[in-house]
Amino acid sequence: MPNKTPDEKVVTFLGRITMQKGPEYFVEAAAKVLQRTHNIRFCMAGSGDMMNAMIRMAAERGIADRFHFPGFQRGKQVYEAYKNSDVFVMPSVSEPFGIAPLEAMQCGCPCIISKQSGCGEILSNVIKVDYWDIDAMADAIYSICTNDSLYQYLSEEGLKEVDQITWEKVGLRIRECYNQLTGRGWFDNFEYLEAVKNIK
Amino acid sequence: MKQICLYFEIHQPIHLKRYRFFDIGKDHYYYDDYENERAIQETSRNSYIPALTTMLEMAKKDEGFKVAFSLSGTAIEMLEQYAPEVIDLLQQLAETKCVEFLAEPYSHGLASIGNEESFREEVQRQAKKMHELFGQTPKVVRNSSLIYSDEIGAVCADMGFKGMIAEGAKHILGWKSPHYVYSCAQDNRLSLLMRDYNLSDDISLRFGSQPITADTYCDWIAGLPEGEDVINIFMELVALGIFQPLSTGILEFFKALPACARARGLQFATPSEIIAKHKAVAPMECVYPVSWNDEERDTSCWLGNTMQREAFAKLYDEKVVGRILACKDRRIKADWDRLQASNNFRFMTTKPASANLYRGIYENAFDAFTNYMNILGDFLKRVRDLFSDQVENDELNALYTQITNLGEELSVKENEISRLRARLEKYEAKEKAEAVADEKPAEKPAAKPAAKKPAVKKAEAKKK
Repeated sequence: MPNKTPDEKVVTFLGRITMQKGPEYFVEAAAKVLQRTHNIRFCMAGSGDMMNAMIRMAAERGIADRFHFPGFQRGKQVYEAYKNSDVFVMPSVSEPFGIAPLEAMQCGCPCIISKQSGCGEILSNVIKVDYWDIDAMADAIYSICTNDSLYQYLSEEGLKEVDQITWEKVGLRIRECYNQLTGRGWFDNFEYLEAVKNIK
Repeated sequence: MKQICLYFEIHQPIHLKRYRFFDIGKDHYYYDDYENERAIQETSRNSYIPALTTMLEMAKKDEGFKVAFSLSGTAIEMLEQYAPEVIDLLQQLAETKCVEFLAEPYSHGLASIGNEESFREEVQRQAKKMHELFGQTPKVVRNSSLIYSDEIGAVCADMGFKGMIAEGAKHILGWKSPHYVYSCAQDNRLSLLMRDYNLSDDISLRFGSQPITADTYCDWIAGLPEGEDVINIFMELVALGIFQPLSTGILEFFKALPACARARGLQFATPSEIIAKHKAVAPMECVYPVSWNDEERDTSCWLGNTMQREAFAKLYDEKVVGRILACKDRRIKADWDRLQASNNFRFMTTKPASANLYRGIYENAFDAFTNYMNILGDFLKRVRDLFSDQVENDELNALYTQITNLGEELSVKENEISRLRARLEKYEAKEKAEAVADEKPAEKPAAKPAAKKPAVKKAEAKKK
């Protein structure tokens, strides 16, 4: 994994390198960005059936010297990858939810996600583009890398936003759902009331 | 006697087009012509033309109806290009003598808090344009979105304006009433008219949802306490027709106003008339800028987040402004006006209240910021290319004054040349005459024209 330095930015894709995740759009956007600037490195972490095709594609675009494939990341490595990135991109063609951007935001890393991702519905401090719109994606990457204020805003506000999303809240909502279905009321459920009290 | 001061703002931003970072340095045209034409024509059709036609009728009826307008320079440019009939209507209104035109910064930008020199230049340019179009030199000034602070007031007073209009924001008025004339705390030559936001918003924001009749409205005004004689109702002209669609009957409400007002002994007056008639009751302290935008009535909708502040700092960088003011490139100056428009910053707001804000071609604040910064990147590059980066603003100013003074210097030198030439002629003539006199004293007058010719030729050579 390339490390970010003050004069070099790192843009990361992290996930299975398969058709569903839209890796080719990431390579295309990278090629567009690298036509303009040279102080940005791109990193496609993960493995999958399209990995070799992507390596070939990067070479064809002539950006292989700035485009890295560190392979499958496990455990702590994933968080290190987020920590070392200036931008996280998830160009999924289709994504039921997609928890990766939330993890990246927890590490203070600004995210660009496709509008076709489910998590886009609950996140507002991320940049959303259509997965096929490589111009918009490249523009967003360039903007975060060159304008410190945007990086700072997305990093800080994104962290605040993602801190509000907790498993406790989700659990309670599901519990509520079951309660309604089984006919148990809200107020005769002692456990539920206790749990509500403990949540800020 | 209570006086109602009606004022309408006419401003339309020039929409920027989608501009990607790879266009930087290649494409120097930044505007979305289609959207601009569509927006201004739609606004003119639904709001400006019906509203101004109604006011023209009211003014011609001679019921004592008076009104004030101000136009931003960018709006004038757009109207001239796409909807000249609006300018015609305003000119007809100007002929009725019931209308006053106010000055405002040409670009509808934030120069008043960004760069004083640029602010002065813009206001003067717009005032000149008002004079050209409507034959009036504005005496009262209005800043973009009614941004006002003591410092801005002092600058306007220094420029010779008699009055300025400002937001009657609660946090600067405190217990005071907006229905008096106040003066600027730093310069008491400048009178301040404070907007009554309750009465203004009753029309511009709430007319459709809480309809009122002109009778009720005038009752409210007439019912104000004794001595509260100045009622300032300021809004954007698009309030009539766009914020409040024509189907709400808002124009009928306006048509009925003069008669209802007269029945209650209320008068209409223009800002200048009010300033001439009423003396300021007290200075108005305002340390931090106020505006008429949002509930906070401050500058947070343009400069609230880090992105907006970065864009603002880059746009009003001292070196950049100095270069733009010193240059003669018309395209750079026009782009500078358009990029300054406060709307560009408004599109980048992330305030919670802005959830359903109209953002033009942009989807959200980040999109607006990215696009604006790309354009600004190209623009700043062009500005930097004008003069070498090493040149400081002072040197630039010296250079600039040298260029402007060149004409004067030349004429001084020319005067000197002709003076010397005359002297030379005299001297040569005298010499020749003396020489001739020595030989043949009788041929004295014939020598003169012969002496003149070589002197003229010499002068011509000198000129080249």
